[in-house]
Amino acid sequence: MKKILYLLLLFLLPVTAGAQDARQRSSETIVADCLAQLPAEDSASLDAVMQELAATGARGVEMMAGMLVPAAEGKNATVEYALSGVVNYATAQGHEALLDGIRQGLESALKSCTDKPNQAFLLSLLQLCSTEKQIPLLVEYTHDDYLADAAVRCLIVTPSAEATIVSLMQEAGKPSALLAYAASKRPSEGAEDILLAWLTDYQTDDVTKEAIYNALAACGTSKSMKTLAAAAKAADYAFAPSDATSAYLRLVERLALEGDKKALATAKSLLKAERQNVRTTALDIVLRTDAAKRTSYILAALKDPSREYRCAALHLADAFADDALYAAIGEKMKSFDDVTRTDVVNWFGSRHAVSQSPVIVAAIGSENEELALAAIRAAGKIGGEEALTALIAQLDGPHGSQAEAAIAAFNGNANDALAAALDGTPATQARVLKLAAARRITLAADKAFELLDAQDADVQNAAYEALAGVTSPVDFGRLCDRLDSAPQGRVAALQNGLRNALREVEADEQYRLVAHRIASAPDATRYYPLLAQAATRPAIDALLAATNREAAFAALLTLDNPEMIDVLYDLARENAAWKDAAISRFADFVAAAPADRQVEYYARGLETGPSEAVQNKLLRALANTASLPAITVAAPYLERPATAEAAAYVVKTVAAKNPGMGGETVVAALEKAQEIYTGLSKSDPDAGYAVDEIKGLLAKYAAVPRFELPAEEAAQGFEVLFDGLSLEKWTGNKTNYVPVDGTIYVTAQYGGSGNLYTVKEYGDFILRFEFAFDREGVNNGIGIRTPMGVDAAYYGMEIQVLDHDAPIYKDLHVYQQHGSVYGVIPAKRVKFPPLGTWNVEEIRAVGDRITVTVNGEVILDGNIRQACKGHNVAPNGSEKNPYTVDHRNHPGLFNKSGHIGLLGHGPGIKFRNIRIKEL
Amino acid sequence: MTTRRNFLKTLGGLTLLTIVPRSVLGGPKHIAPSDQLTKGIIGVGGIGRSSYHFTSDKACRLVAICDVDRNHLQSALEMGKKKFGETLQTYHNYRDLINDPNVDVVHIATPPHWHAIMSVEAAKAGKDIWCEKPMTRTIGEGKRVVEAVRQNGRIFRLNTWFRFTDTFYGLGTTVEPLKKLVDSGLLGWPLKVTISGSTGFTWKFFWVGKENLKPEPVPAELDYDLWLGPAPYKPYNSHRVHQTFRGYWDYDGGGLTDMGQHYMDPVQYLLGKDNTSPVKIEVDAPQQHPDAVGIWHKIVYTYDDGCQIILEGEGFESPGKTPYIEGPLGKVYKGFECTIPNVMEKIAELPDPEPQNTDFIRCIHNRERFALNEENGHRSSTLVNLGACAVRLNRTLHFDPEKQLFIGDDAANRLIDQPMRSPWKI
Repeated sequence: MKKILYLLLLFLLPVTAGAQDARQRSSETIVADCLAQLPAEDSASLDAVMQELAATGARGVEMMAGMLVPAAEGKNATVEYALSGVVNYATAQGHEALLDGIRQGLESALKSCTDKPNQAFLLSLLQLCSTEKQIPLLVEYTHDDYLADAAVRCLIVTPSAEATIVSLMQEAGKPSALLAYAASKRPSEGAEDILLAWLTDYQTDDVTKEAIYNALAACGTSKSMKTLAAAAKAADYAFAPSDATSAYLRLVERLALEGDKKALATAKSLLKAERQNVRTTALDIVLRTDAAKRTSYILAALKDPSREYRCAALHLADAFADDALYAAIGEKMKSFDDVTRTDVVNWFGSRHAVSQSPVIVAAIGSENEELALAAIRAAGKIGGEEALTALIAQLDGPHGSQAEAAIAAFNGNANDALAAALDGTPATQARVLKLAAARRITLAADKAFELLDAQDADVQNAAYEALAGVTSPVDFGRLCDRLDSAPQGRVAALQNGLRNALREVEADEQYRLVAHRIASAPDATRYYPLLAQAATRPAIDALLAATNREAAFAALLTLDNPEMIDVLYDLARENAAWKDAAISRFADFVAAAPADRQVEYYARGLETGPSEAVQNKLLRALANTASLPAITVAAPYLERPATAEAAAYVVKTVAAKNPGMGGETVVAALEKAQEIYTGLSKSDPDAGYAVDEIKGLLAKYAAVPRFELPAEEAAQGFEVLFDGLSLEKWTGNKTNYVPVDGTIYVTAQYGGSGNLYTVKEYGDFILRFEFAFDREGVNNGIGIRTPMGVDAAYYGMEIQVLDHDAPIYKDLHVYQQHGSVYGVIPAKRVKFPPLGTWNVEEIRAVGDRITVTVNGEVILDGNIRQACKGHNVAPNGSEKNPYTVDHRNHPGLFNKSGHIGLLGHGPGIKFRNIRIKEL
Repeated sequence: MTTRRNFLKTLGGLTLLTIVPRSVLGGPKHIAPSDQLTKGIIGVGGIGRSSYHFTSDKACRLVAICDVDRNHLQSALEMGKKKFGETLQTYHNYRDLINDPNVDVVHIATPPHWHAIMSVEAAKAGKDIWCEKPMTRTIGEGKRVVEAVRQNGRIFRLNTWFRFTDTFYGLGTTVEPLKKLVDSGLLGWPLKVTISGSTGFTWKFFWVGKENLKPEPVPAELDYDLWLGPAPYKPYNSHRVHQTFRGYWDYDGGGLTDMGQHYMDPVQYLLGKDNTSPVKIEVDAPQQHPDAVGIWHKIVYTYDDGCQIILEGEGFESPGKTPYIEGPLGKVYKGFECTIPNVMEKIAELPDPEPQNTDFIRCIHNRERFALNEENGHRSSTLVNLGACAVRLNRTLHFDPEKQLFIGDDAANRLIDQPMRSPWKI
């Protein structure tokens, strides 16, 4: 036990010491340290930084604010992040103790700051946290032309600011729209007299008047009624400059709700106002003030000649509507005109007023079209047996289709009633069949089969259509029988019925059933869609082998099986007329294919040369792969007007997912995409954002350090093979070898294959480069004097690149160690620095002599011809076919020249600064 | 100071064009002028001039346009001539458009910091309103719009995608079968909805602002003061206005308040949360600049019954396959892939969702409320605004959906109701 405690203490000690250290740091140091970490990248690190910064209190805030410069002269962002971060942090629950210091800091900062926009910024921070204590300072800024508005906004949200606002109004000595606004937001009694005096004693413009009226609405008493009433009347109660009507109505509302009888009487008198919206506001006031008489006001409103007003009244009634109100309105239905009835029925429906079912049902039969239709909709919404019966009864009437729609969305279970209605009139039967199919009522199947032979053509058609919903596996036989003998016009419906019947049957069983029927079918093509639904491999093969190829192709297009990727690709190439349809469908499957194959598939699809529409479809899908090689695939399509936008979308989307990656190819594509979006932005605002986004992406590439030859190497005639961005001197697998941050980074992320080779061939040379492993056990190699596409270790030479210290390589042969001429001459074992460290390497190849230097140490200096001696035991003794220390055949060992290659595509290695001098 | 009123005088010309009176329109094939609605669009530099909205037809004729940028106005005027053969009435000041007796419907397509003022004033002027998303820039403004629309008896439409008949991004379905599935109870309750790149939704993360903006001269064609309106005055920089305004908290809130409104609105409908709001909002985000909107990693909204909406930022998606909707009994993925076997057949047996009023024109004629109106639109806009508050303050916020105030967070509440620059008010 003791021992554990002791260990625990040991563990804790350094941490505690560190914390003490942090406290002892000066505010200057803390501020500097914290600013360097901003903006914080996530919530946790933000909290950590702000905790430290906030602890510096007023001193820290002042210090930071002191760093703000006028925007034209420098950059303030970091300081703005810091100050706003500190305020946000300190206003959070539990951090209240820090707030006073922060506020003090903001106050002093405001005083010492001289730049107006920066002061306005500091005021905006204060706006989040100000208290009474800051009021005197805020008052000072209300006298500053530039800052007055910001200061007053801050005042408005500051607790207990009412009295200050009044005294500012007093001191102003003339009307102020700004202060009137403040009074409207922080109403207090003292303001009213000043506001009224402003109106009587001064000539004011509309803008100021509007602000004063608005303030009176918020803080006026009955004293203000006369003034506002007169102003509203003068505006004829319209929405006019100075907005007096609205102020008047709001004053009436406030006073009435406070219990002022006169205000309530005024509101009641305004119920007779000419303007509908004024009446509506008055009604709202009355309804909220005079709850006991609400029902009678609503009933009276429903007698109003204005439909707008009647409907607004019903909407106001939403706030208190109950069954009693519904009943009161329902009882008056007879006294309303049809338009009002329609509105009431609509309203009942939207309120789901079940109690008014009889009223709604009665209205269904109205001769007024609008009313009848409203009632049908409402009946569907309220539900209930009565409503359902009434709706079903409508199915054979003039509003049958509306009744059908209402039943489809009927609030409740309509299935049993529908099954029963199949015995109704022909018109009813036809509609019920539709509904039964949509609802998949299998109980209706027998009746539907019976009605396939109905006398009435509409019923017969409906019965055929219904097969797609009501059938189940038991119907398979009778459906096939009918399919075999059906006229062409019924084939599709029967096929749909069959598809539905088999939908839930196992795929293999579906195929078995269908194949069995096909064997004896007079016309096998009729079963193709069923083979397509089975979608098993035998079903695909059966369709591919089918005699009616067009019909089979149509079926194949609907077939859902990942194996269709290859099938469709082949079909597209086989028949030009099928190409578009096949490749379009192909793209659907590719989207669901393994991520590492998708780019290749899309590229193949594009190579078949489908129409531009399909090309665009493939390109859009290509963008979803988010895979860097997609840019290379899309690049040629940037040049063609019809595909430019889609290709630009690929480039932008993919580059955004792989920021800074891909080097010059990507840069060139991005620049082209930027050009395309710039053109589009003239008519499409989103394209403007795309341009901005691309600019941001390009900036990442501009920041990449470009390798330049040291003067000495330049003088010696070295040639740069990779400068950090461009792979133009390379060819081969540019999928796994990607420029990232100035390096060639090998990533297995995108599943390409093969090696990267220099475009040129080299014989004798000095190759210099740097490499770093970023994970344990990386295996790569430098091919020299090698042809492309073969194993360089045998058909050329491979200078091994290997993190040979990894435990997995403990049984390594010496001639496989890093730097060895693989399988030919072993290198001295290098001790590698930690992962991520850059190693410097030189490979010198002069005739048969190979010299490898790593980090300044020569680890291999040997002659390949001599190395073969003693091992040269080729069965035919030929020097051209030498056997070596690894007892393998190295037929390319003595090649005079060949490509330089980066070999292997396992991830985790970076190369940079690659240059070569030919000797 | 240039005010909204007297700037007009300095412009000249543009407002003097006359309008063709409605009485001379017509001919036998036309809808009677009294039945044909007319609309005016405020803000014709961006979405307002798009082919979705810059329309004029028999049911609703475009008669007026308004913009504080002379070039936008001129260009839209020419577009009106070209597209409809009409000389549209042009306005510099939105109030003049709102008060134009020839305009029945005011279509608000300005940056969001204007939406509340224009909606409220259009309501006062007795106009019906089509408002682009997000409905308002703050929760407080939204409450006022709800009140003004109701008290003036107006028809209001918030315009978002996906709630009605448009195919959902990524999911490859309209909202209806999803609603049916959710209502069926087959997925259980509560539900968790994840809006993420992996469920088919991309955020416009490049809709971020820039820091260190240098003051620039205001271009002659732009009335910057009127463009700013209620927003705090900040020295002009071209990146603040027009196509890039979404990057600044003073006017909007980046991809969250833009696409976020489109993505979350149908979720609110699906979950049946049109009358309420979440009680908790959690964020994981990089620190936000006080002026320029940045990106975020994750925002989690939790309703009082445990339902959650999870927003995953682009590049911060959960690894692996994420369901769009996840309940205790089942999950739905992109492309309506569902863990419940034969789910489409199962839900087919149930009633369709209650029909929505999605015909705005019909709603105006019949005075029926549009499916996404000021009330559920405000709740929907509240979702994005709650997220914006939490992201800006970078902390968990607790919200009271009844009072529409944060609980125990004074600073957050100061973001709910932000004073306007004088002389603006709602």
